[in-house]
Formats: sequence, C-alpha cells, structure tokens
Amino acid sequence: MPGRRRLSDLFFPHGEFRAKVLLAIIRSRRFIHIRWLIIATILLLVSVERWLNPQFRRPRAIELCTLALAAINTLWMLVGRSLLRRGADQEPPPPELLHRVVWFVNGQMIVDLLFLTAVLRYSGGIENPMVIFYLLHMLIAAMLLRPANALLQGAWAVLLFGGLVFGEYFGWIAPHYPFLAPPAGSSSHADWMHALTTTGVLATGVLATLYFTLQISARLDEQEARLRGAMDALQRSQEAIRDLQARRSRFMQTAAHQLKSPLAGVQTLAGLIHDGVVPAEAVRPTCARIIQRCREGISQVGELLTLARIQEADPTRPGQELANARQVLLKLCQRFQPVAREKQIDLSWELPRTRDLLVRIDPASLADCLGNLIDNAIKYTPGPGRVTVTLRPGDVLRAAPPDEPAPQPADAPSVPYVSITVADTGMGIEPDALAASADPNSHRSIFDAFLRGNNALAAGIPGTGLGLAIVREIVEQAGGRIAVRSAPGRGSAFTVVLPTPLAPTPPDAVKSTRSTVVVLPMEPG
Amino acid sequence: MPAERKRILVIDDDPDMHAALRLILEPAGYQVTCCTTGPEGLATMRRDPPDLLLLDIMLATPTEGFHLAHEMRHDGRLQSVPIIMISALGESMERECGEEIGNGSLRVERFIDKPFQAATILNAVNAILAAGPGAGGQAAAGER
Repeated sequence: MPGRRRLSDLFFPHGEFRAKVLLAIIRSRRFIHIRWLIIATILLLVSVERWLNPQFRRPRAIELCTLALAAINTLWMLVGRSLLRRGADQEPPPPELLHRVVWFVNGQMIVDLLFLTAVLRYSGGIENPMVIFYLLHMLIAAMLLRPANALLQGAWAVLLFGGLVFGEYFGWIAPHYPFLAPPAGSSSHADWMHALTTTGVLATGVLATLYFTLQISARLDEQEARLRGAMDALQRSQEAIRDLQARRSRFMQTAAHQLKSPLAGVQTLAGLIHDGVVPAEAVRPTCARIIQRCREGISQVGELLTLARIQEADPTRPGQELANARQVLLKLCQRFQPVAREKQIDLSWELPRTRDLLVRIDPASLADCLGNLIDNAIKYTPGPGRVTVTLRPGDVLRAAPPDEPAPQPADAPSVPYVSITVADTGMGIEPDALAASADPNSHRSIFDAFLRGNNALAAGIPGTGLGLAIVREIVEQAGGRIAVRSAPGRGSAFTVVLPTPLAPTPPDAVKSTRSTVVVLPMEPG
Repeated sequence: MPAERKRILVIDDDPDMHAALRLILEPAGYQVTCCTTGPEGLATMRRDPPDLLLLDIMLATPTEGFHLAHEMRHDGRLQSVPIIMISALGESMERECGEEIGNGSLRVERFIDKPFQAATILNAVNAILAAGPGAGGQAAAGER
C-alpha cells in the first residue's frame, strides 16, 4: 500500500546507528522486561498501601489495569519474537524489518502512555508524582524515532494527561481517587489554578525534553553521516592503494621477466656456440643475433627507466612547465624523417603556422610521448605507406555544440586544449586487443606494459611493449586523454588531447587511471 | 635417432629461441616448425598435430601459454600432444599460474627454464618422444 509506505517513511529511523539500537532493543526485549518490573512494582505498592491503611479502599480498577498491561506485555513479547523471525540477521537490516520495528515501538509507546494515564486516574491523577514518567517516554521517543514521530507521541501524552486533569476538574471523570488516603490527600484536582499549572508544566516539559533530545540526536546523526563519509573515503582509498600495489607487483614480475628474456636468449645462443652445437657457418649470424638482443635489452632498460621517471612524478602536483607543441612536433618529425624514408614511408606533418601552441607538460615528456607514437606508426607501417602528424587547437574528441564555431589556428592561445593526431596506413590493431583497451578493468590493453599485438609479433617486428604504456602514463599525468581508431590492414590513428595553460586545473582528487583512453570507430574512407 | 622424423612445434614470441631450438633439435633428426603467436600455433596444430609441443608461457599476455595448454587439453585431437613449457618465469610462478588456470589439473609434461642448455632440451625431448605420446608425464619430476 503506497500510502502507508509514505507514512512509515516519515517515521523511518534515520542513520544506521539508530536502526541498530532500535533492533538491539527489540532483540534484547528490554522494554518488555522493564514493563514486567513496573507491573510487579505497582501490584506491590497497592498491596503495601492496603496493609498500611486498611480503612482506605482503593478500587480494584488499578489492579485490573495492571493485569491488562501484563496481558498486553505478553502479546508484545510474542509480536517481538515473530517480528525478528524474518531478516533480523541480515546486515544491513532490510528496510521492511526496520519499518515493522518502528511501528512496533510506536504501538508499545501509545499503549504505555494510555496505561500510565489509567493508573494515574485511579491513584490521584494530578497529585501523583508519577506524571514524570511521561517525560521518560519522551526521552526514549526523541532518541529512537524521527522528530515528527516523537512530536506526535508528545502530543498524545499531553492530550491524555490534559484530558485526565480537566476531566476530573469539570467532573466528567468522577469520582476522584486521592493519591494518599485522606486526610493526607489534597483536593488539588478541584483547583483550576493547580490543574492548569500542572498541565502547562507537563506540556512544557514534554516539549523541552523533545526539543533538546532531538537537537542532540540530530547532531549525532550529522556526526554519524560525517563519520560514514570519512570511512567510505578511507575504504575507497584503501582499495585504490591495493589496486595500485597489485598493478605494481604485476608490473614488476612482468618487467623482470621481460628483462630476463633477452638475457636468456643471449645466454642460450652463446652457450650453443660455446658447446660447439652451432655449425661454423652459423656462428656469425648467431653472434649478430646476440648483439641485436643486447641492443634490445639495453633499449628496454632505457624505456623502463623512462617509465619509472614518469611514474615517480607526484601526480597531485602537476608540473609548472610548458612545452611548445609545435616546436616539439617539428623536431620529432624532422628526426624521424630519415627512418621513414628508408622504409618508403611518407611522413608528413600539418602544424598550424600562425602561432605556437603551449601545452601544460614538460617538453621532455611531450617528446617522449609523441616520439613513441610516431616511432610506432613508422614501425607498424610496412612500406610504402603514409604517416601523418596533425596538431590542432581545441579538443577534437569533444563534440562541439552546433552554435560554437570550431577553433581556428588564429584563436590558438585562447583554447584550453590542443589535439595531436598520429595516423598511419599500417597493419592496424586487432579488434580483440582494441576492445580490451576500451575496458578499464582489462589487463590486456595495448596501453598495458609489455603487451604486444599478435599481428605485430607474427610479423616479427621487434619492440619492448613499453611505448604505449609510456604514452598513457605521460598523458594521464598531464591530465589529458587519448583516443584510438584502428582497423586491421587499414591503419591506426592515435589522438592525444593535452591541456593548455588555459585548461582548468583538475581537482586534487585521485586521478582515475585508465579512463584516459577511449576507443573510437574507424573513420570511413 | 628416430626412424621417421618426429615433428616438434615451437611456440615462442622470441625468434632467438626459434633459432636456438632449431640449432639443437634439427641435427638430432627432428623436424622443427616455429610459430610466434598462440593463435598461429593453435591453427598450425589443428591442421597437423605435432608429436611434441615446446611452448613459451609469456606470449602476447603473461600467461597465454597456460591458456593455450588448457585449450589443447580440451581439444580431442590435441589433448594427448605432450607439452614442454619453456619460460623465464621461474618455477614458483609457473606452478602458481598453472594451478590457477587449470585448477591444478593441467597436464604439462615438463617445465624448462630459460636460459637452457642444448643437453637439457635434447634429453627431455628424447625421453618424452621415446616413451610415446601422452606417457611423458612420469619423467616430469626428474630433471629441471
């Protein structure tokens, strides 16, 4: 029933701590035990009074009320037990259980207040100091229940007591039973001043108790929420550290293996020569292999050192250095031109002539990053082929709103990002590897260290498997993004978007790794 | 020396290992075919199952060799092909990875560490191929 659901939502306990206290009280049957104690005390007091003053005849009603309370308390005991049968051991407790518990506590309180008033009715009403027990109920209500719920209970208490006092004053409820046997018993119930004052004081007491207790429990709730937030953050950062540690450890194992591989190759081949297994005519080519492996090993160590240097930089304090993207690219393209020409690859570049584009990254890292992309493009493109390097102002990966004109080279200094694309007509990346690269949880991304494409391995193209890992690390640290487009046999295009000094500085939140990379569909044509 | 040339397939991403294994095995009378990637090796085997597979563990991914061996053990035609795993991973990691992937049930005839000597390879290959297909496991505990 949606209506009832909304009403119970209003009364629903807030905060996990309060819900737990509520459940613990129901589970320990504390209310029920206290009620048994009260029932026994009332019956004892009535007997004592009767023994002390045999002339005074207290009506049987007070005992009947107490016995009725005992019957109801037994009922509460059974209800409480069946309530906890479902879902009480679940962590966190299911909302339905908490809803039921809230209704249960409310029910007990309503009936308790009614019985308190009934007992007062037959034991002096306004004269009986037991009126203080209304306040005890208000304390419990304000601590365990929602403010609206507690206020309703307060209103119920005041209504009951006011009804009793004014009922007796106006004679609607008669006769009046004095608190103590006459002549000690007063007739204050017939004094309108006394009736008004006591009811007023009780109402104020109820209100003040509710107000202060609710204030304090609201502070406790705030504190609880703050604590929970801090704990969640702590847990998240712990998970991030654990993830980082796992990645580092995996990386170390892989790195050690990758460094061992060329050495193992060298030792095996040298051992074969030494043992005379290699026939004389094959000794020279085998030595050439050994030298080549040593060269590869050294370049791998160099790249590992580069990666270590980049990873060492404090990601929460981005460098203040600026690199001139145009100059860096121009130098790189000129440097790679002879290598490309040798492979019959047409290396061309398209750089805006009008202005220099400054990027928030240190020039050496930018050169490492783009150098790796150009090197890969040339390496994985069989000649004759084409490699194109393009530098554009603006973030080409962000779809511009239709009314916003695309940034022109002349606007260059006013853009927050620049985009650099290295495209080739080479062998491309296999769809599996590309899909893994788009998945942030995959460890088989082409940007993961030491992972190389099967088609590259099959083609026998030497490589360390570290180039793209270096590219990603640099772009990530600079707060940039990478997009890959590729199709086997058609080529690949890597676009790097880097921030200019005008880009907003990212907040010091932990940089999300891997979200740097996006895989886009290959453009037609 | 075997009467008919036994066929050995090598799957290793390192061309130097191809060269070294050819230098060791071909003079001993074996016919050696080399593949660089797992998929290529698997396709070659499915076309023409070899008498023995020399398999590197770290191929395109750090544990591709294990996955490949696992796949072979579930392939009717390839499940009895003896496998020698060759790797620079180190013994403890080999066992760990192997157990993880095959739930401890992945049958591999022998592990050989890189770098290796000609005699280690030759002895292992001779022992397994002399014992017949699928019977090499008994010799596994011995030399490393």
